[in-house]
Amino acid sequence: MTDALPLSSRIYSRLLVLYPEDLRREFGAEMALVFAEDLDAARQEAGILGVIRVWRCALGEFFRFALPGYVSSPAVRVPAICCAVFMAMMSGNMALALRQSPHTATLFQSAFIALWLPMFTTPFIALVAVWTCRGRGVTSLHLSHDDQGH
Amino acid sequence: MIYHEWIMPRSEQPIPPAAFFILFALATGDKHGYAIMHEARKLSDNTFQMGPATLYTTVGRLLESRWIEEVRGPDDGDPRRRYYRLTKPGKSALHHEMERMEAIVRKSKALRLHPVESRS
Repeated sequence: MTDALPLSSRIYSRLLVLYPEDLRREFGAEMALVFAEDLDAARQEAGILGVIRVWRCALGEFFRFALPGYVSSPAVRVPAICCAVFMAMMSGNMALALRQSPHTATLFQSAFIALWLPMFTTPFIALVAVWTCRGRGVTSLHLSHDDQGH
Repeated sequence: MIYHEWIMPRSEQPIPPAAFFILFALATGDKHGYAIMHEARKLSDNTFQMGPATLYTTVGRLLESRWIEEVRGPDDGDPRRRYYRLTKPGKSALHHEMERMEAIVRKSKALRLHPVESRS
């Protein structure tokens, strides 16, 4: 257990890299220090349950503060949209190919049919996604101003 | 009094819980981050949990609003720690929020909606 605490603190310090840059730059060192102190106090008070409580709180914050910043970044959003559309189209085409000729089509043939349409359309979707993100003025990671209430 | 848009769009709107408990914790004296978190937990009878990201996002905004300020810590303290102090506008905002809460309790008592009175 005593070895787990420095490890937990190190993991949290690594996770800080994913938090918005302005928050990390200004308060990153203190956040890591506060987390380590909180974890230590929670372990002394409530043992493993205390450690779980601190981690649950930290992970909740991670999803509230770190992820939204990345989702709003075109560098993440565009590939994610393209990947999702590509997978959806590929699955649809594959299902269609298997339904049309369930006895004759081999898996390779079905995969070939399933892939050709997404391969041609994905670059177009990527362009649309980039244009949409630029149109909305999403250019960098930033702090959300709506995350105050808990 | 400065009503920063993120923290209080209109003067009658409540202060968000994280900001309120940070101001409340600092009302008893200058504190560093962990002490603020610990005090906030105590003041809320362990009902309000705040992690480092919530704490420092809110501290950053309170510093921007000048409701709190950074001060020099004790000479023998940990040099990694930063200490914070409630400013005059911060005290005023906290006072205003407590008056607002008191008014709500008064109204609920007048309407016999107060939990203690409804039990008796």
